[in-house]
Amino acid sequence: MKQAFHIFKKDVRYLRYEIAMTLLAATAFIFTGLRHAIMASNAIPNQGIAWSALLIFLPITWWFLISRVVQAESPTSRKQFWLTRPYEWKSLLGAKVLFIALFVNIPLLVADVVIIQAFGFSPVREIAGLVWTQVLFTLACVLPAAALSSIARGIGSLITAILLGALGLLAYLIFAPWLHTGSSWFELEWVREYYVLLVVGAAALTIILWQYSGRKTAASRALAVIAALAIWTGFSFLPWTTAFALQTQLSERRIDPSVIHIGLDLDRKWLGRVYSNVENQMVIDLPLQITGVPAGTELKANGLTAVLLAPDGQVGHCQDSPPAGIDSEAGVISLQATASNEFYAKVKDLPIRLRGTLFFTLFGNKQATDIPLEKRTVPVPGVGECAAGAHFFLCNSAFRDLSNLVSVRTFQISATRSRLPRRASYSPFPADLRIDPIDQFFAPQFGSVSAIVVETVRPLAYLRRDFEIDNVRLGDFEMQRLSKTSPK
Amino acid sequence: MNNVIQTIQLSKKFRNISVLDKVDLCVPEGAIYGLLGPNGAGKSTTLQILMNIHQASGGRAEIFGHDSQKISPRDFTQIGYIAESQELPGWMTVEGYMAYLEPFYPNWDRARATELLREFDLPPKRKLRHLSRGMHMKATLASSLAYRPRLIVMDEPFSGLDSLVRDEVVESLLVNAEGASILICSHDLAEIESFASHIGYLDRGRLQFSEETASLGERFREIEITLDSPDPVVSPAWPASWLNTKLSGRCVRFVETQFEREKTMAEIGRFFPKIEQVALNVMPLRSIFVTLAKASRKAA
Repeated sequence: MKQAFHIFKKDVRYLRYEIAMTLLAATAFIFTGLRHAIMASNAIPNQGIAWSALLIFLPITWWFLISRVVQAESPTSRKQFWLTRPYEWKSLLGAKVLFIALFVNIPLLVADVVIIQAFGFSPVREIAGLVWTQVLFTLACVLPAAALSSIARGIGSLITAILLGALGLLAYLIFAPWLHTGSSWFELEWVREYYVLLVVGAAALTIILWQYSGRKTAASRALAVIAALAIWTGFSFLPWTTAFALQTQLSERRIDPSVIHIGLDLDRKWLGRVYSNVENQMVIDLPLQITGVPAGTELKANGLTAVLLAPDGQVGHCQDSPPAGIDSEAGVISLQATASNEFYAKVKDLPIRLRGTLFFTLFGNKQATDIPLEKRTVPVPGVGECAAGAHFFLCNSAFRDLSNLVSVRTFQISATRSRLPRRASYSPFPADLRIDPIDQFFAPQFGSVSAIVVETVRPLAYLRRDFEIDNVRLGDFEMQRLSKTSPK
Repeated sequence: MNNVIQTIQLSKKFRNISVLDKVDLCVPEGAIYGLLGPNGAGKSTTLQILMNIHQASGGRAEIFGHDSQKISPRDFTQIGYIAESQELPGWMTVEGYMAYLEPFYPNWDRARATELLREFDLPPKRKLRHLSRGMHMKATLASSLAYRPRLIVMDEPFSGLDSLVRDEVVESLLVNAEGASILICSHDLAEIESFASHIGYLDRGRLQFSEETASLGERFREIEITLDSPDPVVSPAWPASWLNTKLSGRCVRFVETQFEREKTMAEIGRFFPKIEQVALNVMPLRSIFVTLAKASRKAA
């Protein structure tokens, strides 16, 4: 411990300018966060060039400081003086951990406390979010930065490795649509994020221990490559249905999914469409009717898989990418699928069977909170802190996207209800991976209102329901074939 | 006498290129061992394996009887490692560097450290990155002598130093490291011949010989034989210990590498029955090394 503190003091002296720069950036982050908190009551969005720049600049300063302190006694070096001095590896590692905790983690923690307090949140009540933010930040930023720095020959090779990684990510994003991977999982995205974080964290921790205990650079570099491949493979090929099965285990209530019935919505048959797209495939868009939803609950469709079965038993490939198989705009849930031209031509006028599985969430336990039009924040259970004036309404949630559905009921001459369009996450954890501790969202612009009520329902159960719909004639929904060339 | 350093069949390969090939080296306690060899012979690699900077590909290296791969911080409190290529924390001042190292060593002698700085004429307030090559070496040496190490390992310590600084460093080393074992590697015999008690010669990763300097001088003789009859012929039956054989008129010259007066004279008498004169010349170390290097190259 004595030696660790001795090395730590040396690092502080050595990196005093870098420390000052990092603390300055953290101070700017706090200052900008406070300014946003003040401006928020005037309904000015939490945006701005300075804020956006800080959200990029801060991680860069952290990475830089971490790589500098690790490379002050680089485990890859063959020439540095410390290699033949009586350094205890645990003391050396302890010194680096102390340094990073003091100049990277704690400033972020302080910034989060100050900013959320300015937005009206109690740091004591949000302790779980504060701690979990630190855990995620350590997994996503501190450990990888320290691990990569411990296997890089110098800052130059570290930057090269980061640029190569960024290039690989860019290539993935460019080619992901062709590989049919990487599309958004929306509320379930947290499963993939945590998979990545677990792989990154485990690999980084192993590399750091290997490097400090025995300078096993070749093995550590091999592990870094294996981890990168595991991340890519997992992110690309982890089935969405597996993630949903995991989510199902997190259901608050046991509800029998067989009470739900799924059929074609014949009242809205006019919404159905079948047409040929530019890739010469048939696009099938059919409105579904879902009945049997238990009283007091609200259903949100998350994904759908489906196949088309011809009378002769032939199977037409239809939809196997669940989150892309559903469209639930304006309260209408539609099946979104494609089929080959040949299959369609064969079955269009025949009664076929549509076999599928619907993945959905049942929300319930409605809570309503009156928001006084006094431009002061009030706590809204399951949302955060909300404020309203005669012409604006905004809410702030701390550390994470909401899992609840949020509606705002406004009263003018008559009551209107609008669902807040915003990101959602079914993550069971108290924080998401983010630097900005506040998620701020606004209701659509109102006219002058006399009262506002926020209604929230929370997810009770994540369910899947297999279904079959018989006698579907795709030809009944066929639209005029689209021209492949643009009209002049 | 105990060995402070011992390597047993030590081998090292870098990407399938053999740098060390089954090297058996012993440094007895209290010895000043000069490991000589041309550039690229594997001297620095040997020292770096001993210091656990590199891992051996085969064989074993021991320091104080412990496997060098398991060399502990406690062992390092008794070892001073000085290398030409060693990177010091350039942002520290000379005195700051000494003060930083002090708590790592239980035997650190502050008065001695101050004295060493004074003796080496090192400016205490100057940053290490601003030191000249000679001063850099002196600072490294001073920081390694202040805790009276049992073993000093020096990798090309005099490379690039002028003779004045070199003499100064050697003098200080001999005075301040009294009683310590020293392993010093160099590509230049002149740098170490005056004080090395033991000499080893490494060439192309193989240790050609390793022995006490005094016995080395005894073992080698340059022999010049003048015969009665002209035009002698080289015979394959001549002993393998005769190197660099040269014939010129009635003269035969060679280097005897296993010189023992009685035995050598008997062998000479056996191969040259009619001798007019025999001269047995003592060889300087430099000549011994030139002979060995040539013989080693020829054999390779």
